[in-house]
Amino acid sequence: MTRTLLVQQFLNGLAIGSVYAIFALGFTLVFSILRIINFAHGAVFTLGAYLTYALTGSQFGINGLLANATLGVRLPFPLALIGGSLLAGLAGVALERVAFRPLRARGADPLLTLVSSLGVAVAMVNVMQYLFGAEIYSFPPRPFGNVPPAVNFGSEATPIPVRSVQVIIFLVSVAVLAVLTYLIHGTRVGKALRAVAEDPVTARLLGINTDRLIVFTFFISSVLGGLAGTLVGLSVSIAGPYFGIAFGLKGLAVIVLGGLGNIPGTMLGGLLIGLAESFVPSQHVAYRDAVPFALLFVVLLVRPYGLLGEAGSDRA
Amino acid sequence: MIAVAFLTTYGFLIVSMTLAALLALSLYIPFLAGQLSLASPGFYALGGYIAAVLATRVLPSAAGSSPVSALLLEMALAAVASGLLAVAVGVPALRLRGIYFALATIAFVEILRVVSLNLDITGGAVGIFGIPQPFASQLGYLWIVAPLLVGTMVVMWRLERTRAGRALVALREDELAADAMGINPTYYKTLAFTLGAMLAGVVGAISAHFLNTWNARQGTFDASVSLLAFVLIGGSRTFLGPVVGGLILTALPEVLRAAADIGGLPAWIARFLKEGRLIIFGTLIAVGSVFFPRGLITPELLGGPRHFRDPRRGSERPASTDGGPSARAASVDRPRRDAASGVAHLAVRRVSCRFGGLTAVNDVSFEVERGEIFGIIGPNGAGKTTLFNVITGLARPAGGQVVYRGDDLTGRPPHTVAARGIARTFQNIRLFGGLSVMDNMLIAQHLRTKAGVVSGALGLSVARAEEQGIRRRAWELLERVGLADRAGEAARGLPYGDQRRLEIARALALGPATLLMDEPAAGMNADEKRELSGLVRAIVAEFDLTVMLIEHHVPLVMGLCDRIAVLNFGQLIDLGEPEAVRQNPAVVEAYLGE
Amino acid sequence: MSARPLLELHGLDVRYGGIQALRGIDVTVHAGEVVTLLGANGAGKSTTLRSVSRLVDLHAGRIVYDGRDVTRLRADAIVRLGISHVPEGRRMLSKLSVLDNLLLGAYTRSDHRQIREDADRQLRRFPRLAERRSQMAGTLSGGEQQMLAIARGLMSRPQLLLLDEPSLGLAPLVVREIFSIIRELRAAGVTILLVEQNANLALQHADRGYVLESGRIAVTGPALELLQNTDVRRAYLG
Repeated sequence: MTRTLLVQQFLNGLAIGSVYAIFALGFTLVFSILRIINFAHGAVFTLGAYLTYALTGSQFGINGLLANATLGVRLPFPLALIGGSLLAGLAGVALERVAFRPLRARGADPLLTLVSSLGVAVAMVNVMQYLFGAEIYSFPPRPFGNVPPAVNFGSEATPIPVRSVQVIIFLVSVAVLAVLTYLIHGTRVGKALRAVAEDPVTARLLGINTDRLIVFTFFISSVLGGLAGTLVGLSVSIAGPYFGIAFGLKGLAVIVLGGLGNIPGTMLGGLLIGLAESFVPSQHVAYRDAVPFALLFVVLLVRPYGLLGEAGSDRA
Repeated sequence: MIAVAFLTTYGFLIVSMTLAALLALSLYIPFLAGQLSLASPGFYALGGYIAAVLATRVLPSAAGSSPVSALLLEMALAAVASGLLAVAVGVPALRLRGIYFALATIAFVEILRVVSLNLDITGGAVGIFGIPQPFASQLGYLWIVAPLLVGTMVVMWRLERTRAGRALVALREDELAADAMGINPTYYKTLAFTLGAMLAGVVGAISAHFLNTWNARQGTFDASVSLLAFVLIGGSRTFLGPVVGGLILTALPEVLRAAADIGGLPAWIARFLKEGRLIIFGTLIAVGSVFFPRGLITPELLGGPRHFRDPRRGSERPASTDGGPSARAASVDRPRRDAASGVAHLAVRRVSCRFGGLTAVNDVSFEVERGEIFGIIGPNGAGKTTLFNVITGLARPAGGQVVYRGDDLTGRPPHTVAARGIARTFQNIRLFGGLSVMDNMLIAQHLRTKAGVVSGALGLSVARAEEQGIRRRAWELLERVGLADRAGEAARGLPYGDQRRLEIARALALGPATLLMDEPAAGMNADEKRELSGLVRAIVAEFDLTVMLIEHHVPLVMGLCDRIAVLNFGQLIDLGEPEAVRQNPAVVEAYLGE
Repeated sequence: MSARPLLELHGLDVRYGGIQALRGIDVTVHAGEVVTLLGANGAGKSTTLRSVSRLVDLHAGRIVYDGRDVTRLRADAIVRLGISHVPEGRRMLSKLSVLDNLLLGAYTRSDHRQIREDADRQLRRFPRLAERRSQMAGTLSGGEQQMLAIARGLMSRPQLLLLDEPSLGLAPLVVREIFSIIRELRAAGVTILLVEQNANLALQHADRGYVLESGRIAVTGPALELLQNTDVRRAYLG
């Protein structure tokens, strides 16, 4: 009985942890190349979920301005997922152009950029609330067609059921992480990204167009954010636009735990926080939300550069 | 009559506006020291819970009301609790820089929120309600909050003009330079953080009564965002900014809501006006940070830097200043070296320093004699600035000792080194650029005064006398370097040569026995270099200084210094009088190659 | 030597942080030459190179490359034109491998097979680098990093190589090695603008030289003349 619970908690922790990792990588990519924290990432997370929701042809509730509206199309869920994520990526590109580039052109302090992105996030989230209302939306049932609702990880005698949705989420996340790792380490663009992240001056001397690379980074980062939002919406539900802000804060815990700007660290951090949350004993389940922040606080006091970060990288 | 009716109808709003202004100030105080703290909602929630719990369970109350004295007691307790928690959390967290510190405060608020959602004493998710009222009407709260706001504003106003306030602002401008001027960063940052926390706690205590119920929704990240909006949009460079921001941005939604009720607006606009408060705040923050990074109320708007608008006018500037006797007298309050004791003025013993995998300074030893002008030269990357950094505490040596007048200063922090009498100028000028010339000079005299926050804020006579003294001395020194006419200008607006001179004057203001100058002639033409040489010789005589000088322009060093040390690859390759050094083939090779 | 110079700097005026770093610099470099910029620290040598590679903005002046005014171009466009800047302090991408650093040197090129061949050729020329091709560049010694920096700079097949203080912080033996590479490059016809603090060594390997002092050109002439010129020594040691 306990073993079943443990396995379930472990697998669920991996699933949610992998989504944390994907989401937080969006932060990490932008931080590594620009040394700024983009708070609007949480809003893009929410936007992705809403876009995918709209693309599946679902209807919006009665509270927002777009009450009872539907988009003309009705795509199968996997396509809607891809579409929603790509559109979220475009939103990120627009954000970079409108909100971040002017600040960069003025040589703004990273803290000012953080605050500005916070303003953008709050504005975006509230616009979404204004348009879509604050109700909880769920994706249509059986999004993947004929897949059974639960997978048995145990045996006939001692079944350990895990929701298929969680398994699929985990598999999708792992695939995305693998693709991203290949992108960063195996392609020319990825190496250019790492070059700019380490030394923008040298990168320019090598002929790398840093502005274009920044746009590309924002695109990838926002695709990841939108994807994560959809996956969470799939796993639980879309719990209102503000959910993105709360998730965004957790994402910050992940990146600090892993080491700001450190890609493998972020992946590790995401999984660890997912697992930590999942293993909170049931009598304290109400404190689950505090776990990432408690970890964040402790890490900041003890090892601010994170698990895989380099000592001294926290000194400005 | 109309006024009374107005006040009664809008009583709730007016008190809310005042509370918002106070909360905005609670974020502004740490911000003065350059710390972005989003922790105020946490202390606000704590203060509210303390008041709520005490009022509903502990303190006696009769039928839904409680005496004002109870409220005051709760406010005091809230302040104490917030203060203690702030020190406990702040001391470790304030070691973090910028973004990291902000994230820590966010985490702090979230943890508090979740904890308060789950404890019995806080009423869990439901919270505490039915909190008794000390006043018959909501407007009654003005008896408490209005004096509190006015009082806080007065304290802030005084703070910005006194030693403690200047120390905070110096930290914001350039923490490293402030440290080198003798300001202890940890102490002052914690002080600012704690004061802000205490203010937020007090406001929380009042609000608990004012709002009648209190729950975990009071201390959320959203609240941080609103407070940020108040400070950033209102104005982040003067205490009036957050006040104005808080007042206006709290009233704004009400105004919009009223506007929405004007007939004839399409439904979606009306709805936006009613519900779009946060959209507007968020957009204002985003747009404001690009176009108005310092907010609406800026110091320039209020008439520019204080006090020094026209140095020639009136009482500020002493009628006759001769840079000689009083300046000298003021700076000589340190014991003269006992010539018989034989203790070297500054001894560097086998100092090594590594960073980035390189050995920047390798086993360097020498002694500097009292009163000499000691030059340090060497090719690029030879380790000269690193050596200075080790002496002044900006860098920790991997080995060796720095002994100053018999005291071991190895590894001590910069403000301690400054307190012992070593001042320095920096290779890339580190003035407090956004502050006036006079402020730079006043901040540098931090160690020569003692007034703390309380005596400064209250304007006690001790503080006043100190202020007069340091102002007089600042004028004298500015006269000496020829910058008195520019006392009111912002330091970063000065021409390059003047900035260098200000840096020197500022270092002198510290009243040091030893002055370290890192490439003071960089970027100067031949005439300016000659002038600089003359100035250095003069101040050594007038102020009884010992000077150590790093320079690349070798002719300047040859003409000015009594002895010269030559570094190459972090090692000392020669030490002696200029002519000898210049002829040394090893030195020639280091510079010209073989 | 062709009639028209490959690179011309006219009246360069650079200011930053309130300092006037360059006050009207005029330099010409002909194809196939090795020209060296000398002078004490802070004289403006590196700033001159950085103006050409556009890391630094010009307050006034013109840069003409192969007859074309390139003053307004961005840094990456300059690289595409055939100018490669090997920066002061080597500036390795320390977390990338030696091979990746080399490949990134050819970022502006699209002929992938040739790029691979060029990389192999560079590794053959620098056997010490070949041994370490998959190691992170940050683990290399100072001399090896300098070799890698030069090799990386050559990967874009530049017409003009800007070399900034290649001997900085290196032991004399290694410096000799680096300068023999410069000799080879010169023999192969690469045009080089060389900034050096080690004046004697630089002049021994150059055709012509300019001596900078406080942002101005104090002396210029053929390298052999400058070697014997006492003004040069004075500019350094006073």
